[in-house]
Amino acid sequence: MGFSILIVDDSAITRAVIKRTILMSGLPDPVIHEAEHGRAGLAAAAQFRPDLILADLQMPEMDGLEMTLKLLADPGTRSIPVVVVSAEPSTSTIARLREAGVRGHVAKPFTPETISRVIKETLGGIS
Amino acid sequence: MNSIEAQRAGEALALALETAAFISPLPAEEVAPVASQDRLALASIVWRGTPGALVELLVAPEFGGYLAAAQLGVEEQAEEATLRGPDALKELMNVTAALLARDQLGPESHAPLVLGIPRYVEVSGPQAWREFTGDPRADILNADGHLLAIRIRNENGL
Repeated sequence: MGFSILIVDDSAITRAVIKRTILMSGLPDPVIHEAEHGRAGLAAAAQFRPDLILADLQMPEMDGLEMTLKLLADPGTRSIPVVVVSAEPSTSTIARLREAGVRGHVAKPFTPETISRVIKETLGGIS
Repeated sequence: MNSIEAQRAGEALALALETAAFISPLPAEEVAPVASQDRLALASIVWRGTPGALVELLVAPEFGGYLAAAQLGVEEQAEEATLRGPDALKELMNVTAALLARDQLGPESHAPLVLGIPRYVEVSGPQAWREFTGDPRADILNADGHLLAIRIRNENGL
């Protein structure tokens, strides 16, 4: 079985674009899970223990900032790398997340090449 | 003549479309045709900060499907593209507002700023189009034959 990746974003089109990018990226047999807000993302992370989480920040129910900080504070999920994929314009929010342990940040709008590169780098230097 | 803010909004919209969907809009030379449509799609987003803003996009609903198709790499008539149209327009507003906010704040700013959740509604076409495009804070672009009107106002919609 290949890498397991959880996409947390309230935008269905963004989840679909990222999913398509992953499937076309050359990663062997990726398993993709989706969640549409932070609360669902927390549940999915605990259930599936993915190899990587791609998280938006601005979401209803529970935003990505709160979800990510909870993931990083939980011994059961803190080792899962989190990459924020967001339109977040505040550099202070991104800096806070990096200090908390977020592995990377992809600013929207993104190209498929950017997402693909960051995923591969985060999953272990697969080029 | 459009305001500088309107031109900045148009430039941010164009950059968002080019980066996310490889769609390259140009300034519109003719703005009348969309007004004949009965229904139009109004996508909007607020950001709160100093200062805050409301960014609105008025387009034919079909443009959402066109945008979704471009992003997903499927035919415009595909059911998936049609279904994802409203969501594609909301996400376009999210990204455009972020580009505008980053431009306004500067790359090193730590000023507090919060993007809202984008909204999508359908409105009566001719009346909305006349009011929107008559506003000097609006910029109008042509993306492969689709007319896009974007406007930036203060966060209370004034």
